[in-house]
Amino acid sequence: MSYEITLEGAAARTVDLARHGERATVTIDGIRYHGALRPAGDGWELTLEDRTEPLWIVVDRDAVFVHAFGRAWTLSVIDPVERARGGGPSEDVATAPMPGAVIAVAVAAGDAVVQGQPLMVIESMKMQNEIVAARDGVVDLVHLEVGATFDRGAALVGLVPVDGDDASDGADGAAAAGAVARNDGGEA
Amino acid sequence: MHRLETHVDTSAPSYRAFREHNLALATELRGMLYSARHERPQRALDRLAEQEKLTVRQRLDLLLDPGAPFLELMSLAANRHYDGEAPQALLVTGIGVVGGREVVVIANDSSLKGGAWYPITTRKIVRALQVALENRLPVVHMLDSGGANLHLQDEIYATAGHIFKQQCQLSAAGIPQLAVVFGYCTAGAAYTPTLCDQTIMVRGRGAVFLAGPPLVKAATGEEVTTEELGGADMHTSVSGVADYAVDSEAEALALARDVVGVWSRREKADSDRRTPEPPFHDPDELYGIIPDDVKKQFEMREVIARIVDGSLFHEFKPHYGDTMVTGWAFIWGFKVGILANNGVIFSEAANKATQFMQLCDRDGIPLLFLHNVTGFMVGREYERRGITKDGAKMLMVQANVTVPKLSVLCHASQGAGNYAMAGRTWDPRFVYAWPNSRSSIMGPEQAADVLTQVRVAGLRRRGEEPSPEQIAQIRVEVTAYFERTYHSYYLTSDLRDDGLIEPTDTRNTLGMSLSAALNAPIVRAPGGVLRI
Repeated sequence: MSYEITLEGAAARTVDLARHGERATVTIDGIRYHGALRPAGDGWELTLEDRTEPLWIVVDRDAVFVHAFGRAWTLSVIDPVERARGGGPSEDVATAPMPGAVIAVAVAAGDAVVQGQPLMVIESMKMQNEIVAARDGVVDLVHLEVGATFDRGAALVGLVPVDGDDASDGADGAAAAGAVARNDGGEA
Repeated sequence: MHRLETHVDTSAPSYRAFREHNLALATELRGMLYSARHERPQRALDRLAEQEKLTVRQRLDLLLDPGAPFLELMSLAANRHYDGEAPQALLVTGIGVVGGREVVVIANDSSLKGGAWYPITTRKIVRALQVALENRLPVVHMLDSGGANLHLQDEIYATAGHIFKQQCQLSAAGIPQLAVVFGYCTAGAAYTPTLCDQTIMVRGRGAVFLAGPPLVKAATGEEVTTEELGGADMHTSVSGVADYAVDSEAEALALARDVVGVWSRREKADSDRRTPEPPFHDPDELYGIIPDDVKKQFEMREVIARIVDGSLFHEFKPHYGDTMVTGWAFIWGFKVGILANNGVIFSEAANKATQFMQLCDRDGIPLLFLHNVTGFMVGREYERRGITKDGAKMLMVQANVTVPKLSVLCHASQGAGNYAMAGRTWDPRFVYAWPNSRSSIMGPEQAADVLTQVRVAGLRRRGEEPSPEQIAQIRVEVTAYFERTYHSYYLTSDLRDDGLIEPTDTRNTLGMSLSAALNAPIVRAPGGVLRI
């Protein structure tokens, strides 16, 4: 598996990792290192060639915090598979995943919403689904009222379109920050 | 495999409301389990003490390896039947560890009603023996029952014969059985110890005969004592019906451990395994993820992330048929193929599930079904595209895979969706349910709509025009019936699952179930996988 790893904001480097149980071979810039990572107490014990060091690792999505060699390090690890899977630019209009009826509308035109905020509740096949904002934005139009029925693919709630890349990058950044805060709470 | 990301906001009001709701359900479940297992009237306990008998829980403590887990099955059997007078159907069963090997234990609870069989008791024994047969697990019968409750003989007799037939099948399959006789085994029940490979009897308490002294006197006029007719010494030294006579229950259970220890061990089935690790995401968060209403949808990947090793999951066909999540993960080091509902089943979702099951079956990977399904999609567009045909393919393949199947009813499990996801009637090796889950042929509201229409049409045909009050009354009755019979406590009372479990116990329960299932060889299905 090949990762792109950034250490403390320096240029990204490609690191290839081949695992054999708890032992592994790491290739950085064409040079191979042999090592092992074993659980030790509440942390880990890293052996790299003939040197062994205790270390502690906290992973939060792509960010990895490592305490080793007497200090803390922040790494950003990009996994090529996960990178490829990341969502594209968000759609401006939330559409119906299946035919159904509107149970509740939570927003009105002009409301500012954040990613993940419920916009509408629909019911179909005895199940209620929350339609949530795919990104931060402002509600442009609520297409249907409570009680209205619709077919699959029908427009439900539209957001005011935003210009291209800058805004959606900003939204992604905000979402990531939000998730980080939540994780800190959950894992503490 | 990649670590599943979580999108749960633990500070959201809905998370906190769900959590409060589900923690209350978990507390209720723990209370129900404690009461069913341990709460008995003092006079019942006094009577056992007078007879120098241990409680069934004390017997289990002496039989099972100290500190080893006991996977109790069908713990709340009969909790909504017989006015609650037969907690656990007066029988304890489960998979325990004796001398380091997994065995099915089937133990009468004689603290109430003399440990009599009720219809659900009989079915519970049949199910326990099915677990033993399918998973090739040895059986320890701990017998102490007054026999069938004759007021309910009809329903009992309808299924009791299966028990003895299954015992014969176990023997033929080379799966050992031991009986420990603590009380009377009269009439049909005399065959259970006699059909075992080995039988231990407690002197002065245990007895085995086709008819007890009173019936013998009535039938032939012969006067005979219990010990002479079917006691431990007579059977172990004269008739050969039993093999070992002991003086106390404690001695019987120590000997039972010795007997099990001598049975030959079999290697477990070859399966993909790795070193277990706990989920990365905290299973306790399940309580805030599961909604407070069976109609509310939630993201099943959040559940997978709190059950599987390291929260690591390789998702198969992630962009296709997105109401069915499929993929591979490890649970307690055992590889599984997971099928989880993220809503109603469409044709694409059914086809993806079918293809995935074929892949796992060919590769010998056990399947885990996580239910939150209200059925297959209905409507003209879907019928024209052959939704029933795609559902039939899913059923056909699911029914015929040879790898072990495990099911967990996480939320809704309704209609044919329950069938497609290997619900109880499709004989998965094990099926568990969460206390919030509901299962029925359709939803209560839909049933109320349908039945109200039918009744109103019927009244009109007879020239009567139902009043709004009458229509409301019909709806109330139908809804009440559905609310009662699709409830998790009712369903587990009627053995429609192998037990209600707290969501946070799911991982351990599945780990023990997988470990048990691998006592039977995995037969890999020949043939190629169809990309249907």
